Amino acid sequence: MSRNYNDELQFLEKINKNSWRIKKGFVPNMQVEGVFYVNDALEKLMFEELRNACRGGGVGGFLPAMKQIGNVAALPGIVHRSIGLPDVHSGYGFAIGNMAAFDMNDPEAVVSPGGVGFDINCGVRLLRTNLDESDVQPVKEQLAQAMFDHIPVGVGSKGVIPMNAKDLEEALEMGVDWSLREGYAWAEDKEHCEEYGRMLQADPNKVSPRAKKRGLPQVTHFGGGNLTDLDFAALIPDALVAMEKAMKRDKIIVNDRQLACARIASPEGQDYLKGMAAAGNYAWVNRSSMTFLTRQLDFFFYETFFFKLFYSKFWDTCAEHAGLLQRYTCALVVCRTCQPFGTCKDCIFSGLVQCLIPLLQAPESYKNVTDVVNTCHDAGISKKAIKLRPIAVIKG
Amino acid sequence: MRGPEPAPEPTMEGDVLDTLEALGYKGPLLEEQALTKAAEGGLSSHEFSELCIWLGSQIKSLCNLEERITSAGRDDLESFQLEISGFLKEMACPILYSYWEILKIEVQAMFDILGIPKSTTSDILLMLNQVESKVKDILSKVQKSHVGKPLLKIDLNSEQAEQLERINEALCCEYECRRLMLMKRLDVTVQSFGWSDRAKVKTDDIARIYQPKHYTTITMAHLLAAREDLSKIIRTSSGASQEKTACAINKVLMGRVFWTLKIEIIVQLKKKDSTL
Repeated sequence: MSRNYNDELQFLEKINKNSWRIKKGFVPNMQVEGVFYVNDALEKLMFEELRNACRGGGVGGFLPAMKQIGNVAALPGIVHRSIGLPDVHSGYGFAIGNMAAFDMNDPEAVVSPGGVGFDINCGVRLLRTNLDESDVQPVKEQLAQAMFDHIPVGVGSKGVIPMNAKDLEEALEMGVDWSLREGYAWAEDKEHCEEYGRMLQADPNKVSPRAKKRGLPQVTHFGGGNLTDLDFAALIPDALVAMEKAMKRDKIIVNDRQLACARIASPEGQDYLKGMAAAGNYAWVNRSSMTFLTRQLDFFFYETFFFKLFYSKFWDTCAEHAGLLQRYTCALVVCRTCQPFGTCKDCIFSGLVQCLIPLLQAPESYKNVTDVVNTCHDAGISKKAIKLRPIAVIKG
Repeated sequence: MRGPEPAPEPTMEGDVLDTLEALGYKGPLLEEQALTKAAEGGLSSHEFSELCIWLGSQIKSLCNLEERITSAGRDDLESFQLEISGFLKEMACPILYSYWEILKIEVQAMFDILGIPKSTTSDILLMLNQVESKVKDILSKVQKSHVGKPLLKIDLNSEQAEQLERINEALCCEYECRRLMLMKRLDVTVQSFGWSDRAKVKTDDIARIYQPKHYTTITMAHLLAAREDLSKIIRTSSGASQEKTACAINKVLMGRVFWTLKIEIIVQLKKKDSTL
């Protein structure tokens, strides 16, 4: 870091108590400004991180989040702002919780795997039931145990839903349409999924055989439903190599090697997007399968014990990505607003979930989710809607 | 020596027939009488409409036009006329249907629907009077509540009507977008069903059952015709809808998987509560 901390501060401007502006020049070649959202505690953390970096103490090869937001703002084709959502922190190329939009009509615009993230379509599903707490309390232990026993958990365990290689290919291509066809999903589920549970540009041929091999047994389980995880991490060097070649050919310059990217319209860019879409579809199939098994259990339970509840629909699928879980001790549902992009509600929302998912998986980086949600609310990014109180918890 | 018999006077119909033949038309109107009769029927003649559609597609491909005349439009007279108007406009054709001609055709269509014998007069106001009295007659024979009260409860002045037209246009654009999206989603879902091995033998059946419906553009006429029952919004996930759209799939149970579990639970609960 050639600049000292005070000089860096010249490029940073407080907009209000919840947001800061990163001015052009903070890092080389910024096409747009950056903005990041904080509360008092998060603000302290971010500036501490920057100060440490200036003193020469980086964390494990990652730049401070603020710098990463700046580097993203230097990517070709970026629109409006490079955004850091509350609790943004260092990541691979992009900070985690760092969001950017690229104009697909701009021939210069790029797509970057670091920006998409390795946990493609990592998400949460919220199911609604017509049951009361009083219906569930008496059997909650058995219900939780049954879910744990019958919905596989953990990486490497086998799924209950029969699936062969051909099924996987079709699932990668068709997403929830596959689940629907095979009878695992209900038609109305699609309406509550982003992209109707299927990204149409998916091409299973753009997903590596190794990732498929690993993904096949895991189509129904908690905590392993990403086709990415270790595979993509291992594959990143491959993707990087392909994209680095493309960057030389197309003369793309980035501030950070981890921001390897390709023009959206280039063969590398298109291949990546098609593979990414297939990975996304896989996750939706995974969640649909889990929903199916959950519905089976629920129906099974309540037919046995409460004959009066014998009717076919217990669970509705509420919005994907709608639940935010904090060590399963409380969950909040937020609804989207239009800030900070005018029409880009989906980007914001997935960015928000993206920055919170690490909380679930790495308890040592535990932060108060209520804090983060409150900051989003104050900053106008989202509005608090419902707070959920869990009565039983299953760890995946 | 007399010269050869003079050729018959060229008629417009004759010219048209020659042109049609030259263009490769092989339909039923290649005979002068048939063509004349069809032309008299205008757009209410099936053969005439078919001819228009055929001509339209020939011209469209030759001239690379955007507009087209579709056979789906034929079932909805108004849309069909709009398509032809649009088509002629794109060709910069000076002869367009006049407003009154369109009106006459529409009123005639009303006659057909209401079962009124074809009008002897071409005075539109008289024709509309006939329509009104027939409608009153029909209404007198049904329950009072059968046709509800109108949703629009005021008379619109021309400024309001214009404003509404503009709003309608903007909404049509917006909903066109959404409609295309939903149609696309429906298409790909049906397609994905067609890819399964079991479905491959049934492609004909699927094609027969799944025919996208023709879409009618919403206009001011729809607003004027709207009844109060439209203000009741039926949720797609309401109990009634769910019951009616439920199918066998919703009730599938993986019996064997949970059989042992069932026994376990019953045993456990029996231990806890001997009254079970």
